[in-house]
Amino acid sequence: MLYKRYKRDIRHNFGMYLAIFIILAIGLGTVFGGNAGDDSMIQTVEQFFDDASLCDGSAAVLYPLSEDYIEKSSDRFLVEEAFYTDMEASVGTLRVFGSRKTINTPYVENGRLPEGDNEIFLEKHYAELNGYTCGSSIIAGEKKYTVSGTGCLPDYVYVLKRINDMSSHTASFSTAIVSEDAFSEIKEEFPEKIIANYFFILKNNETSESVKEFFSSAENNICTEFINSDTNPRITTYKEDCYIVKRATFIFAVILMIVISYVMCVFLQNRIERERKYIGTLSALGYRKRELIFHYLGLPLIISEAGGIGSLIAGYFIFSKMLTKDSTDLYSMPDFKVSMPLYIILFAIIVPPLIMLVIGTFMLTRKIASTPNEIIKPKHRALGTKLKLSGLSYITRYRTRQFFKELTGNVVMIFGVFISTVLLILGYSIYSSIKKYQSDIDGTVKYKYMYYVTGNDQVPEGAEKAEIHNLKYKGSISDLDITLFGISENSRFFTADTAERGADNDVYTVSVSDSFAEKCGIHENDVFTVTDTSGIDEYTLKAGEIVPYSVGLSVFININDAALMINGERDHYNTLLTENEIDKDSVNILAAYTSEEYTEAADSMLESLMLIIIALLGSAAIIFVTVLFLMLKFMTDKAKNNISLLKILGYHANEVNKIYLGGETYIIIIAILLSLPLGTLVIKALFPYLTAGYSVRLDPGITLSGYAILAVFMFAAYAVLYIYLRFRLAGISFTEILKERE
Amino acid sequence: MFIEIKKLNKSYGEGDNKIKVINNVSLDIEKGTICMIIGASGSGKSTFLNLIGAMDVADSGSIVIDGKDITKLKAAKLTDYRREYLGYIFQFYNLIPDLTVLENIETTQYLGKDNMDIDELIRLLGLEEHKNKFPSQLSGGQQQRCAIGRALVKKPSILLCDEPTGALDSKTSQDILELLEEVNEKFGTTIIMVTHNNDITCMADHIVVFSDGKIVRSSKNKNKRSIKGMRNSAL
Ligand SMILES: Nc1ncnc2c1ncn2[C@@H]1O[C@H](COP(=O)(O)OP(=O)(O)O)[C@@H](O)[C@H]1O
Ligand SMILES: [Mg+2]
Repeated sequence: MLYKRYKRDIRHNFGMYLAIFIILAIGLGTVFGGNAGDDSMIQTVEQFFDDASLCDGSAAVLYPLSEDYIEKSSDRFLVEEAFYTDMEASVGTLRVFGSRKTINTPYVENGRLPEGDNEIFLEKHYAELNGYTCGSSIIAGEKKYTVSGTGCLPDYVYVLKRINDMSSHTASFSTAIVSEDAFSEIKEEFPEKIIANYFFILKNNETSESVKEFFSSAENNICTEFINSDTNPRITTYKEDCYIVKRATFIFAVILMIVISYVMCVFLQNRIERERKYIGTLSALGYRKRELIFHYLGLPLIISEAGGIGSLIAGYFIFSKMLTKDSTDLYSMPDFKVSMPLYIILFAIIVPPLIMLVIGTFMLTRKIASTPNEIIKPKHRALGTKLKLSGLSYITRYRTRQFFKELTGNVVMIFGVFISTVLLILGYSIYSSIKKYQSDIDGTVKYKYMYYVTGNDQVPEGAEKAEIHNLKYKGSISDLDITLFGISENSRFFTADTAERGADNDVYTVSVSDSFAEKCGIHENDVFTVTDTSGIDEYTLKAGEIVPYSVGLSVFININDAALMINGERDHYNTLLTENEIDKDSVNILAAYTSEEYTEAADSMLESLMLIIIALLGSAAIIFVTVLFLMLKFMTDKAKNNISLLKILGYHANEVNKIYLGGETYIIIIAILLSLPLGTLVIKALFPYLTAGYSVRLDPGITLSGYAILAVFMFAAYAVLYIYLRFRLAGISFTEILKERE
Repeated sequence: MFIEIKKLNKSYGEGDNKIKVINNVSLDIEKGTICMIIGASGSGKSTFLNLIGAMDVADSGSIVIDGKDITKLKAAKLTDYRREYLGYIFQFYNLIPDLTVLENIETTQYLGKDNMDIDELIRLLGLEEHKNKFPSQLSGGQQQRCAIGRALVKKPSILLCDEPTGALDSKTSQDILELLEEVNEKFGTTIIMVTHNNDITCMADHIVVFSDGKIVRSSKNKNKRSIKGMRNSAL
């Protein structure tokens, strides 16, 4: 009996139930999939770090330390040799390590670690992209090796060649491990190319400061690189990506819950309105509230439960893979299976029907609170009845009445358009913000080449010397990378005021890029601290002027002040900036960068987010269309009687459309045109939160053409619905009115 | 003949549930007359009226109105037919609840080419005081007058009424019927009216009796008496 009624109900309201199911399954599926995927990814990588005994940091020195010297520190920290050398391989460059003992041990995905003299273990993405499998041979450093296995290293999850690199290219640069004997062979053959690198793990309550001290104070030696794992982008970057996914899906989820509650509200309101006669009759007959709720909410509850379960399925099978694929492609980490955390499963099963139940109970209670007679025959709403409309054309008057009659409905629809537009903008703005950032680079970065140099040579013609350092600033969720540009006062490449001022009580005054200032809320005259990349040396800075500079987060200071601040001596430089390539033999170059690498970094960021953008945009688009569909369907359903009547009276289809859809078309056009800028404001306000983990300032940056694309999509979606609704209106039969009697 | 109906058939349902609602019905109606259709409930009166009003499609047979067979017309042409010829009055008024009395009448004024003067019509209907009210603020009789106004304003040549007084008390019913008589006299409107009230058949020129989907009697009313006259004599 109940089953039969539900079946009939489903048949009659199929579109509506389907719409609710889709919003739940697709919308929540995106959120659940993104979060479950991220959780599983973070868990897997963290487990990997545990299993591999991830180091607390690493240090490279100019000459290998003696065993005695290492032994001296053994009760304070564990130090382990991890020498490496970069070798030309059949494809690209491989950073070859000797086998590792206890720290940062590799994860073996295929095959095994190298044993024989001519075996090599390759990083998985490099192997895959270049077609190496176990047993393949590869030439590295003029020696032929056989691939014994593939996998990944915990200290190279993000395979960056240089620690300051902004993007990775695993196809042409990655890591490899050879056996101890094989590495000794290499050491003997190319002693000058070996980097004396060490991993360390702190014991007791030791800090990395004392480790740095230990490495720096080795006699006749220089510590060339000291990296804390906490701030090592090779180890931490993957998590930043997870943050943006988590935060984007969180914002999405919050908006989505509003959309879902909204849709359910509208759906139930419509249902109760349509069935008010029966509800009134039943309650007059003495039906209790619980019975009525069971009667009217049974099926909606079942549908929202199904939607919740559907979202788990869609999340697990589609969105979790989709939303983490970019990350697994980019980062070198063990493969993982997504598991749905219990909190998500509970949420999916409980929350959707609960919202439906709460809203439904509330609305039914309100309805039943009035007398049965009032329920059956509601008073004519006063809104708009006082309108004097004489002077307007008949159709306009009719439309105006229709508008006021449906005022609540229209406001509700405008809200629906708005909120689903916010979702669309959220998805789109992740894309457009990075695109905008990219286009800003061209206008901001005026030099073409940047060379890290020893600073001992004659400055070549056309080059400008600078003292540039990477620093860290404590952001709200993670350390942000700050670039300190020490530049000469009359620099060709920068406009910031960088007169030499010296330090005032060890506080240096710097010009702050507007990107940094905005992102971290720094104002003129604020004093703030930054640290070196290892987080050990601290510097206090005072914000002078705020200057427009949107690439990365930067501060500007005079070159001599920078040298004084970092190295303790004035006349020093570590970088050459030029428009043209410089002669490699004239200067001792440590590393060379081109300004294109900024663009490349943005590209790789965009790439790593592309599927998320697509998923968010896709589900936002589906939600937008569904919300619009529901609202328009509700409104035309309500007007069924009048439409049927107009047809009997002799109105042509296009006249009916004019009255009933024409007005709505204007409203939707206006709603869309208003929602775009207002939605952007909302997203703009949410953006700092969304991108807090990134060391760049991003704003939605939606261009006119971006708006045009969104608007065209929305209008096109409406156009399709419009055509559908025309058919619906055309399908309303004359006898509709003869059946439904007041 | 103004309206010629030949061998009209209509059934509803399918297979075992199929019922023949209009069974081979033929009928001629003269221009400017009042034709009254009576019969038991379920005998097919409304269906017959709906077929004439082109709200439903006949299975076979023809309905020729003013020389045009409307059963052969396409949807858009049918709309034109309704627009040009028909006025429709329902038992349950069917006003548009969001429009005022005046605006409800304007709904069809918008469609007509040669319309009545709307103020005069409203006066005739006795609705001057109520013209800016909404249907929910009117009594049943006032609502039905408004519905009549809506049907009449475009001066239709045929007025279809399905139990126009079915929901009204007898005093109000008489007012409404008088109004229809007046319209018939004044404008020569052909009125086809379905009723189950045998007492009012006296006002008809032509009486048709339906039973089980068939016309069992169709006759001219030789003793035609106006409702108005009857009332006056009763006083
Ligand atoms: N749309 C319909 N579908 C199925 N049966 C119908 C439909 N409309 C009317 N009927 C049936 O046709 C018969 C005649 O109905 P109707 O013309 O409304 O009768 P009357 O107006 O004389 O009371 C009834 O038995 C009714 O059940
Ligand atoms: Mg009937």
